Parts: sequence; C-alpha cells; structure tokens
Amino acid sequence: MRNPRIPGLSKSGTWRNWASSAMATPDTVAMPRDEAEVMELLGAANDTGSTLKVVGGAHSFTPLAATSGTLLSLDHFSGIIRVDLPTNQVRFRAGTRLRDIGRLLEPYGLALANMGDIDHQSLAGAINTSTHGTGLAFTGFSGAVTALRIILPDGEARECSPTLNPGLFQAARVGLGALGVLTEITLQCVPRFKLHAREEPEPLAGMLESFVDRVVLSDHLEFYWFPYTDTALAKTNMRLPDDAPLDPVPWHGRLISDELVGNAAFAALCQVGAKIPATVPPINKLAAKALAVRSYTDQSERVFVAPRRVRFREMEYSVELAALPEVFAAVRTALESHPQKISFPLEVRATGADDTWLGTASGRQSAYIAVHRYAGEPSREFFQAMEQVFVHYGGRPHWGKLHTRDSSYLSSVYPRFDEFLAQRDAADPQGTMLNEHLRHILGR
Amino acid sequence: MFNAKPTANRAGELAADARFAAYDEALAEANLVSRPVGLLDLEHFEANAKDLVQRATGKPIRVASKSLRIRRALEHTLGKPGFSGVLAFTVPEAIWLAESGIGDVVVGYPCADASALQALASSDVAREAVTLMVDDIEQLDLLERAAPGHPPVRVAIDMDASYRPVRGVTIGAARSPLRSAADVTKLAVQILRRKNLRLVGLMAYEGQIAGVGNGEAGAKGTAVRAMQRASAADIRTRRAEAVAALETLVDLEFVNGGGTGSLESTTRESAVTEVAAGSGLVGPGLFDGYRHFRPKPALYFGLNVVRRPGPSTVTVLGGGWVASGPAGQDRLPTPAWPPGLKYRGTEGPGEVQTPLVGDAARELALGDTVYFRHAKAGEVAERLEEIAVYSHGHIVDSWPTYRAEGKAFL
Ligand SMILES: Cc1cc2nc3c(=O)[nH]c(=O)nc-3n(C[C@H](O)[C@H](O)[C@H](O)COP(=O)(O)OP(=O)(O)OC[C@H]3O[C@@H](n4cnc5c(N)ncnc54)[C@H](O)[C@@H]3O)c2cc1C
Repeated sequence: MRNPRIPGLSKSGTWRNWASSAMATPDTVAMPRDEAEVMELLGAANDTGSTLKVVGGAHSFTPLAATSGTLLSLDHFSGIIRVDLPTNQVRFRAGTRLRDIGRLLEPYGLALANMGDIDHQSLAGAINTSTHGTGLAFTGFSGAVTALRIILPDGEARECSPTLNPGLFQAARVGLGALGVLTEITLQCVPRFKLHAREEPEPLAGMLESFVDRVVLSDHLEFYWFPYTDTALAKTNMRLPDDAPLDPVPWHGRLISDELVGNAAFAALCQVGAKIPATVPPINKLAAKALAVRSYTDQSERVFVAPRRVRFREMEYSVELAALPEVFAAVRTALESHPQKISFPLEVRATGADDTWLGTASGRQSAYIAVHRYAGEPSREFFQAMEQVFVHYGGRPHWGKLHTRDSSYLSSVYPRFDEFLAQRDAADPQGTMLNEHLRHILGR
Repeated sequence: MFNAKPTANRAGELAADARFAAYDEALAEANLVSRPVGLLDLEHFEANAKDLVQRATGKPIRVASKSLRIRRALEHTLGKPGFSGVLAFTVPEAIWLAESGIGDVVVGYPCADASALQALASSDVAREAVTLMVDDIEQLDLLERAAPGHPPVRVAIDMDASYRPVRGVTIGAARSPLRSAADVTKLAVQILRRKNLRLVGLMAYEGQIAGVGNGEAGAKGTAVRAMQRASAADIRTRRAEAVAALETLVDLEFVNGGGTGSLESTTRESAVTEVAAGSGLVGPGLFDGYRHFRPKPALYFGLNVVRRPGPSTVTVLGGGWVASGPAGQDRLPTPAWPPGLKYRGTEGPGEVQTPLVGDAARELALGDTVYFRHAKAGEVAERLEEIAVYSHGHIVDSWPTYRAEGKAFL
C-alpha cells in the first residue's frame, strides 16, 4: 500500500514529529475519509490488542502521537459542519488545521477568540494538549470547546457536551489523545475582529513587576526575554472592531516573532552560538538592542500567528499567574548559572482559568514560561535544570512540549487527575489508545 | 414526429397537413373565426410534459411561468405527477398566483418595488407560499424599508451560474454577483441574522446550457457542446460547494437549477433537488435547435391573409411578435403553416402587417389562416386574450392569458 501523506511520515515508513524529538514506525497507516472507516480501523486495533494513535499536525514535541501500531491522520476531516449564528458556536471536523480556520470562518463573520504562535496544528491536536495563546480574558482552545464527538475503541461514536456524556466530555476536552478518536469539535467563536499589535523593547525588571497588572489591562500581552540581557520585548495585542482600518506589517519589517525568533536570521545567530557558546551573551545583547518599536493592525489570525521556520525544542510550564515574577527570577538564575549558553529567547504568556480537567490553566489563572533550544544544540540537561525550577513551583507541563513528569507528580498538580483516569479507563479498557509516553504520564 | 423545419419528410408533411386541417376545422366548429387566434395543441403539450418529466429523472420540475403566462396552463401542468411549484417572474405575479391557490411560488428574480414587497409582507397567504429571490444585502434592506418589522418572509439565494473559462470571459447571463460558496454564505449569514427572514432555498440558472441550442452541425455545434460540457462540470462543483456551505447554516427546502435545455446535466447533480422548465412545454422556435431533445410545437398563433402584393407574396395582418434577447433573426416568429413561407429579405414581420413569400403563397386565399410559432417565451400570451385548447379534433377549452386577466406584469 502506498503511504498516504501523513504528517511526519517518511517514504520509508518512519514517523517523526516536527522537532524530530519523537520517532516511531507504525505497522499500519491510514487516512480515513469518513467515520465508518475510523470505526473499522479502531475496532480492528482494539480487537487484535494492537494500538492506534491519531496524528494531527505532528507538532507536539512529546511522543504523544507515536505508535508502533496503527497511525491515523484525519487530514480528510477538515472544514465546518454547522454554524449556530445565535450563539456563534461552530462545529468543525476534528482534523481541520488551524491555518485554514480563518478562511473557513470569514464568510460567517466569525473568528477564533484567541490563538497561539503558529497555526499548523489540527484542532483535535490543539485541544488534546491544551494548546493556548495569551490573554487573561481568554482560555486555551479546550476552554472554548462546547461539544465534541468521539469514537471510542469499542467502535461506537459518542456525542459529548456539558449535558451529554458530561464526564467523557470533560475528559476529552484535554484528552491527550488517550480516550478515542475525535471526529467533530464544536468551538465557541466570536465575531471577526482586528488586532492592533505593538512590539516594544523595555527593561525586563519593569516588565516583570508590572506583568500581572498589565496582563489584565491588555487584551493579549506576552513578552520575550533574550537570556543574559536586561531587555524584554513586549508584544501587546489590542482587539479592535472588524471595521477598523488595516495597517499591516510591511514585508521587510517582520521582526521579533518572525525573523528573530522564528527564522533564517535567527538560525544563523543560533548556529554561531551553538559552535562558539561564548558568543551567545554578546549576540543576544545585540539582538535585544536591535529590536525597535513597531506597531501594526491586521485581521486577528494574521497578528496572532507568525511563521516558525527554525526547528527548535521547547519546554513550557504553566504556573500560578501571581507567582510569575518569583518563578521567572528563579528560572533566570538557573539559566544564567547553567553551563550551556542559551541563545533562544524565553516566551512568557498568560491565560484565564478554565474548567477543563487537564487543561494547564484548569482552575487557576496561569502564566506560562517557555524555554527553547535550537534543534542542533543538546537540550536534555538544560531542560532538566529548568524543569526543576518549574516543578518546585507546582508547574504544569504543556502536554505537547518536552517534560519528564510522571503520573504521581501530575496527579499532585491536577485535582481532577483521577477523574480523568477513570473516564479514560472506562472509554478504553484495553489500552488501545495508549503508548509508552502515555503509560508513563498516566501510570497505566 | 411532426416537425416544422423544411427538412420534414413527406410522411411528416402529410401528417402535419392533416393536423393543420384539423386545427382549421376545430376552430371553425367552435366558431373561433376571428384572427389572430391562439391555439394550444394539448396532445403535444402533454407529450412535452411527459418528455420533460422523463428527462428530469425523478426530480420535480418547477414550472417557469414566464414561458406560459396562462394561469390555466400552469394549473394544468401542476396537476401532473413530476411537476411541483411555479417559478414566477415578478412579486405581484407571485402574490396573485398564491392568492389564486398555488401553494409554492418562487420568484426567480429580485424585486426592488417597495409596494410589491409591502403587499407580499402583508398577505398571509403570500408569505406562506411565496419565496423571494435575493443576491444582495441591499435587497434585504429594501424589504425592511418597505415593510418595517414585517412578519417572516421566505427568501432564496440566487447564485451566478455563468461559465468563466478564463479571466475576462463570461459565458452565460449576468445575473447574481454571488459566485463562490463563500459569497453565498456571506449573504446567507446576513439573511439569518435578520429574525424575520427565512432562508429556504438556493437557485442557480445555467442559461448557457439550458437556453442555448447545441444542435448545429459543424464546428460551431461542436464548440457549443464542448462549452456546455465544461460548464456543466463547473456549475456542478460550484453548486455542490455552495449547498454544502449553506447546509452549515440551514436545512434548505430546495436547490433549484437548470431549465428546459439542461435537464439532463442539472438533474444529475446530487446537490440539486428540483429543476425548472417552461419553454419545453410549448416548444417555441428557439427550442428546435437542440441535439438531445426536441419538444413538439404546442402553441401557435394564426393570422389572416389580408392582401396579395404579388403572385407569390401574401400579407398577413399582425406578426411582429418578437422575442426578447439580442435582436436577431432567431427572435422572430417562425411561419409554421403552410410550409415554405418566408419573410421578405428586406422586411420582417411588422407590427401590423407581415408579407410572406414562397410557393405556398400562390395557393393562399384572402381570409385563409397562416400559423406561426413564437420564438421563445410568453410572446403569444402577451398579445392574445384567449388560447383555444385543441385536443383530438376539437377545441375543448379556452384558457385566458395573463393579459386577459388584466395582468401585465412585465
Ligand atoms: C513551532 C511550534 C509552535 C508551537 N506554538 C504553540 C503555542 O503557541 N501554544 C501552545 O499551547 N502550543 C504550541 N505548540 C505546541 C502545539 O500546539 C501542540 O503540541 C499541539 O498538540 C500540536 O497539534 P498537532 O495537531 O500537531 O497535534 P499532534 O502533535 O499531531 O497530536 C497531539 C495529540 O493529539 C492527539 N490527536 C490528534 N488528533 C486527534 C484526534 N482526531 N483524535 C484523538 N486524538 C488526536 C495525538 O494523538 C496526540 O496525542 C507549538 C508547537 C510547535 C512545534
């Protein structure tokens, strides 16, 4: 059988995620066209004691989607199924890529309320890992899910909402891909809007002091910090009505979130830094200095998202919002005393609390700190050092980003961890949806 | 099969001969001696109806009223299996049809007439039965202005079905500005955001297939058929996409497409729930030019020979009942009987008199009847008050035209 074009799958049949931090060789791959096919494949895996995983955009750094059994892509499950105009709730096919959603929602005059840095993910992948952007009045994708449809390993489809199979609904809103195959997801959307973005370097000290207050006042605030410098680059997005005039970024002017953090110019710097670590601090000082104030206004999905052409590895933890200054200071100390020189800027964001069970902001207003290593650099020791700090503060790892937590730690930071496990075990008693990574984090 | 073309064979001619003799006799028997006279051959009409239903392969046919403009003919057709609903051409017409008992009338064209919109909004019967056609937000505003806070009104969206093989080339009618599924969706959202509009349908009329003859021999015929095949594939995709998009918002009652000449390709689209046809019932002159079907001529008008300008020329009174569209020879009525009569090269059918030349003219006496077929749609009904209904040797009924009922809609 010819391999369908499954994200991350090579011609030889090896599967790799975007960052090449996870690898697997599935024995069966398929790109089903309808639910009946999904049911058949899942039923077959379940009956033969095999395993099945779905890959969305293969953008998780963790091996959540790795399998030696059956690997499915739901890339044929794309598009809008139903739009409820009175409530602005939109039912999508679960494989819909985030990058297509702006175009899909445009005719309806709707948009996603919030987005992360990139849009390569599938909707199902995003909600399964609690993917988020920034903005205290907003939640991650999972918080916006109002209903979903999941095929369980017994081959049956279940409609889930706060009133229909509510336990399964709560578990599957951030399901880690461990319960079944999502085929449809209903999201609370909002009327289309524009964003005014302002990117501005400022002293790190002031940013840390004021972040918790400013994140309340700004619609979407985040900042980058170049290690070894005293400069933060703030990116503040304010929401404007859809009829606000456009003032897009001129092509040559793409800066922090694209050229510096994401792409070619930055890769060049990283390569120098990787080869001659001593150059990193001065390079970073240079980079931070080079940043200029910039502002622009564009359609929301064009402002939220920026290209990431450089391959990197990432760890991100959420902590209590109020603890951010303290945690950040500890992270900074640990980073600057670490023997490896870190070229990649840290990213700090925040979201409101949500009522999901395994969402990284479940039940608490959260700040997120993300640390990265350029793909060519060793990352394990550095991430270990960072993780120690995060864990000390009761941090919750992003499910799709690198971490080493196991079930005993995770159950200590997620009050509803056991309820999740109960739902998971009932949905998939044979462990068809599990892999090594999930067994580790779930203790199964 | 009878055929008014000069290629008709001898047997056909004899059959036609007998048929026109029978028309003459039946009219005389019914004492319908005045000319002009309109005659509807019900046997041919019925055969055409049956043929349309067959070509629509199971999808109901909405009867296009502009091609008939005779209420009794509409009602007669709607009484047959395979036909359902009327595709009307103006709102006042639709209200009138609804109030006369036709329960499903879609207006095929937009309306900017405030008083008509107001009348629709205030008639319980009409609001129940009539569906307005829209393709622009401004039309929604016009309705709101004409009847502020009106009770719920049914609307359908018209989507452009013209064919655009390359940039800058449009084949087909310039109708709706809505071309893509996204265009259609945007208007649908505007409709649905207004509490008192009910979106019930989608229409797309591929006139370049439905109304363009494809039977010509040679390069032109081949080109037309190739264009129609490509256009059918194009509209099939676009209509399916538009329907899929609308179905994310509403459950549509109908998706209308096509016309007499396109039933085969339109009915094959699974997104289409009904087709439209009108001209195919009466088989006017322009519908002689198709390869895949040939309606029987079912509607004639007869004019008196009143003068003889020369030995092979006669002049009939009336005749210039020209069809709409780009003015040209093909918009003129076709002299149908006796065979072989032609217009004079320098003088077409006139508003009062029409000279005709040809051998047959030698045999015609003053007072004889020359039968004509109109070219396109409702021309006959716009000129006459009554149509004599012929069946099996007799005039069995007389149907008043819209005009006779005092209705000059357009
Ligand atoms: C460059 C880059 C930038 C990023 N930026 C952000 C960011 O700004 N914010 C943020 O929060 N995260 C970010 N991430 C992380 C990313 O959003 C998550 O890892 C996300 O899960 C990736 O989505 P995906 O579609 O690629 O899912 P995958 O990685 O393919 O899958 C994720 C999980 O979902 C499961 N899954 C996928 N589809 C289904 C389905 N239909 N049914 C059941 N299970 C399914 C998989 O089995 C797996 O367990 C980023 C990652 C990268 C590489």
